[in-house]
Amino acid sequence: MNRAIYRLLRLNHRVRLWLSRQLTPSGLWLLAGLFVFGLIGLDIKRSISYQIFVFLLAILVVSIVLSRLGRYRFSAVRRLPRFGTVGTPLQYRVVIDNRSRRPQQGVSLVESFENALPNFRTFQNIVRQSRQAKNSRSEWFRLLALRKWTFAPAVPLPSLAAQGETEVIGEIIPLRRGLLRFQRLTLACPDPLGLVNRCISIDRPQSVLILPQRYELPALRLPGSRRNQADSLALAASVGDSEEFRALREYRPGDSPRKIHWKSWAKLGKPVIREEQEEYSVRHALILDTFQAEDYSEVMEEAIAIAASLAYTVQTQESLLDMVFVNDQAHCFTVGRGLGQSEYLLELLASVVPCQDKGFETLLPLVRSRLSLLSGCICIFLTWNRDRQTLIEQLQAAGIPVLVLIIAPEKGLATPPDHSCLQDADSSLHVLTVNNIQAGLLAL
Amino acid sequence: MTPTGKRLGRLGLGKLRLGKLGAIDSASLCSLAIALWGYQTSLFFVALPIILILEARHVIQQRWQISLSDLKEAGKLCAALLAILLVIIVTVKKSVFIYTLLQWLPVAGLPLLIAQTYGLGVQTLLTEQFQKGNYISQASHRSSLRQHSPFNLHHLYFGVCIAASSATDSDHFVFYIGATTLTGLLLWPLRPARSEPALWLLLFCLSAGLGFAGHRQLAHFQQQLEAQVIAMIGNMASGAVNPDGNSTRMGSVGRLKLSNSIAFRVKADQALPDTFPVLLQEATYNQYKLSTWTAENSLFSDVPPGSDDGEWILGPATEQDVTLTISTDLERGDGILTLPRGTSRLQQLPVEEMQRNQFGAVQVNAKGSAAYQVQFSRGTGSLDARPTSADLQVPNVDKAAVESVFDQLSLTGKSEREIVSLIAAYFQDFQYSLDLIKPDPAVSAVSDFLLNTQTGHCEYFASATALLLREAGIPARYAVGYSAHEFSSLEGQYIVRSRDAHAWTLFYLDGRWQTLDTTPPDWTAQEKAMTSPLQVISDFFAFLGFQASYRIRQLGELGLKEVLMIVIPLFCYLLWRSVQVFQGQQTNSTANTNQLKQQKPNGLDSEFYQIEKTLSEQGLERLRTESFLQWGDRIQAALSPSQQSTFKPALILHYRYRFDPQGLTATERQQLQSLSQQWLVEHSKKNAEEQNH
Repeated sequence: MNRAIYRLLRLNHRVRLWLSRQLTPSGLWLLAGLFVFGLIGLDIKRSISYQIFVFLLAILVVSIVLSRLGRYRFSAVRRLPRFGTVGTPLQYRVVIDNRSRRPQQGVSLVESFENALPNFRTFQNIVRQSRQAKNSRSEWFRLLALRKWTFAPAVPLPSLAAQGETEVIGEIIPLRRGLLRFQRLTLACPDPLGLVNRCISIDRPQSVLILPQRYELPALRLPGSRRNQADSLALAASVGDSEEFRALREYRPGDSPRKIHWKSWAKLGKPVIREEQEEYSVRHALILDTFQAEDYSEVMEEAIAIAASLAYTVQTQESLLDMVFVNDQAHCFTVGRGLGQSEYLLELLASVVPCQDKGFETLLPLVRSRLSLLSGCICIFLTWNRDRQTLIEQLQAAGIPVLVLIIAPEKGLATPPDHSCLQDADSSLHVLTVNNIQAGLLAL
Repeated sequence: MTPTGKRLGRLGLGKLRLGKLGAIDSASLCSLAIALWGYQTSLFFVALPIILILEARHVIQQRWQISLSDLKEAGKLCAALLAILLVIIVTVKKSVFIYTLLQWLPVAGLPLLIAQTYGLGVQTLLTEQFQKGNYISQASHRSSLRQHSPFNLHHLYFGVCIAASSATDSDHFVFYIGATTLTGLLLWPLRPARSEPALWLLLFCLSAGLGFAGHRQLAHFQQQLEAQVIAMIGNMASGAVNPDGNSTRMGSVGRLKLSNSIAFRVKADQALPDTFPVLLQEATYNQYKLSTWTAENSLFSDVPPGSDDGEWILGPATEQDVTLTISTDLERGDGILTLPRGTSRLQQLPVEEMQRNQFGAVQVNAKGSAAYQVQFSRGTGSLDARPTSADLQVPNVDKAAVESVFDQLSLTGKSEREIVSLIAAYFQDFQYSLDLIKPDPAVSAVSDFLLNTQTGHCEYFASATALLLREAGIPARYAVGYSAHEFSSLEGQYIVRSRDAHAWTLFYLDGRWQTLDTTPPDWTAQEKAMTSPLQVISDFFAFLGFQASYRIRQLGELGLKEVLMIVIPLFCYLLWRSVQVFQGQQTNSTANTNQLKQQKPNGLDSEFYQIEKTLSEQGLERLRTESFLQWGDRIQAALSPSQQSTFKPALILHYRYRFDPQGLTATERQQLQSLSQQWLVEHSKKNAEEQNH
């Protein structure tokens, strides 16, 4: 049954797509009129709507015939940027070579993408979710629409010179993070009556990585004091308090090559290590919760968007930021003080998928191992439960101030968060609702 | 240019002339469509005020900023108007009203038309709502991709007007010409830039011509098809009773499949205990031949209407008369009324004329449902024609069987009353069955029933009884109708299902026609046994449907005046409420546009654009990917030294005027203007010099 409904939906999607390509907006209105007048005109004794019906049919047929008569020869090359961002218009250049002898006017550019419609498995998941939540039909379509990769209306092109190349700007709005795959670009040339398009499709498979959406953040004063970063900053380009010479000693396997004192090596003929005063620096952890049963949820997308905003915005010149999350396994990436780049974190976040096979507790050992290094911690949770509370309690017990952000679906959290687990004054817990994230963030 | 275009160009219909034909604005187009609608439906008195309202926009400069709730309010008013029109049209027309309703649609759409004409920001609201409906991301609202859909309520109203004017049957050539011309005017501004005006016009005329030929052909084809279908279907109309003849199912093989659907409902107005079960007759027949009963020389004559509206007199009333209310669809049975015998008067029957034949069949020509009161006397005879020789005829094929039974019952010498009782008693030993037993081809159906099978349904019993009575010299006829015996506690009245169709015998004794039903009384139980247990559910829905149609009929019984008296205050209240909640901010459109001009944002009125335009006309246009600065560098070589010297400073000022948040001071603004003008003057001088050379 589900498969049949899915096929019907897919058919509906394809027919709508096909119609929107093959007909211009006026052509679509004319087609709608054709149906209406056909319906009213069924009883030709009581009404004369059939006359208009036949006229509309005739004009459409003439348009279709005319649209097939013209000769069009195009080739096109798309020049894509490396990244795009969800919700931000992505502009790219397209060079169109019009190889016909006539300049072409009124042509528009339409892009096709892979995975424009969710596959059957995804569809089944949506159905399961909507059954659980007892969603209405419109909700179901909304869920389908949420999985849309991009909003890409036709772009009207300037006049395309005869037998020459014209550079135009294409524009789309990516709606989902991840790898957006362009499939083919279509040039739609309207017929002289302006109702039917002749579509010339050119296969140009390309892809662009779409980074998560980012929110505007207030000036966040992250809590916490500086901690000793024993030997973990060997690769950092700029260091804070260090470089204070203490002593020289012999090389021991495992010492960083950056600490080799070359002059002494030259003198003594064996590697000598320069010991420095202990390094102290501010180090924050950003713990992103990826544990959810569904393939896709708005809550997780928002969590990733907030994580991306934090990773991008938080001033990391003088401090370090550890991004901790579990995908297929537990990951920890550090940026700040010249170590790594926040763009790199955004790329990572663009590819984060929900962790469905492990429990939240898999995150705990990783966090525990870094407790001694951390000055503060930002936790972005998808829900609130016992496990998450345990993590907060452990962090608090280690004297690490925390900023907890819980993303709640529109209808609110199943269990209200327990503020009693926060012990120090610097720590705080906020619940951000899916449709009101920006306002919630600005109120932090 | 195409060859046609060249030819037309020579004729003076070139690109320039046609290209200059301005597009009519959508509101004026609406006015034209309303005029067409008024002409086509003869509703000039409605069309004219609407056109005046629409065209008053040229005089009334006031415009209102419309909010979404205002627009919704206008939509609600439209729905209210539509509902009111529906009620009025159903009341007045009573039957096929959908086309009349379609004709009045432009009236219902008036509030939205006014909102579009006198409101500001309707287009934006509609685009936003459309995008929300399609779950288009919020991001697209901010982006340059945001497209204003060409969706405009004027266009929609235009379509509604054309549809409304086409929902009539007045087939004038003017309509086709008018509708195609208006469609052409609508499509003209939407034609693509690449399309030559002359070619477009030619193609449009070609389409209109094709459409004309096509619809003529379609009408012709439809007529032919209709004639063929009528010939094919013949008299296969289901459920219809033919007062002139009735072909029985006697002699067929199989099983009678009877429908459980409710045919009509009967309610006794007085609580008389022995009224039910009652036989309700549709028609009687006097001649039997080959399993078919016919009414010989059936002649219908008009029944005189009574003094009250909906009253019809069928015979003299008596004091013992009983009244029943029958609720039925008047089209059921092709307008043959189902009446108890001895009906003297009908009331509340909204038909224009009524006819009756000499055999008691009453026919009306009306559509829709009705609940009419029937006044009838039990036990007295009806006004059916007196018996003729045809009422005594026994067909030769059944003569032998009928005589043999006659002898078996030894009816000779008995009184007529005794004969009737004996015949009635004789059939009590017979079996009732809905199974149609395979007959012996050599023997007729009634003979087989009397001599061999002694099993059958009501048609057998009624036919055999009639023939036996005739053999005994008593005039007899065959009657068909329904038996009302099933009381529905849900509805509080008797319901008569299609399966309750019945046949019985009439015999003429003591100077009047009397009823004799020899079918074993358990036939109703047998038929009921075949009912599915789920019948209750479908009965419940039938009841709901009946209640709905009853309410609508009650409304229909109100006159136009009463309906208007209810509806007009209601509409006035809705209008008043809409005006109360109207949030539109009054703005003066002309003042507003002036203000907009003054505050043109971001320096879009910079004179530097004139320079850009002049240069692009010379083929030095700026590419979309180029900034003004890059463009300036590229075309520098093409400019004269004096032009170069003014170009750069003007460009810098333009940039500042366009993008500097502080903007330009009044002097700087003046400077930009003078620099640009200076450049343009030099440019025109240079051009003039080049031409002189």
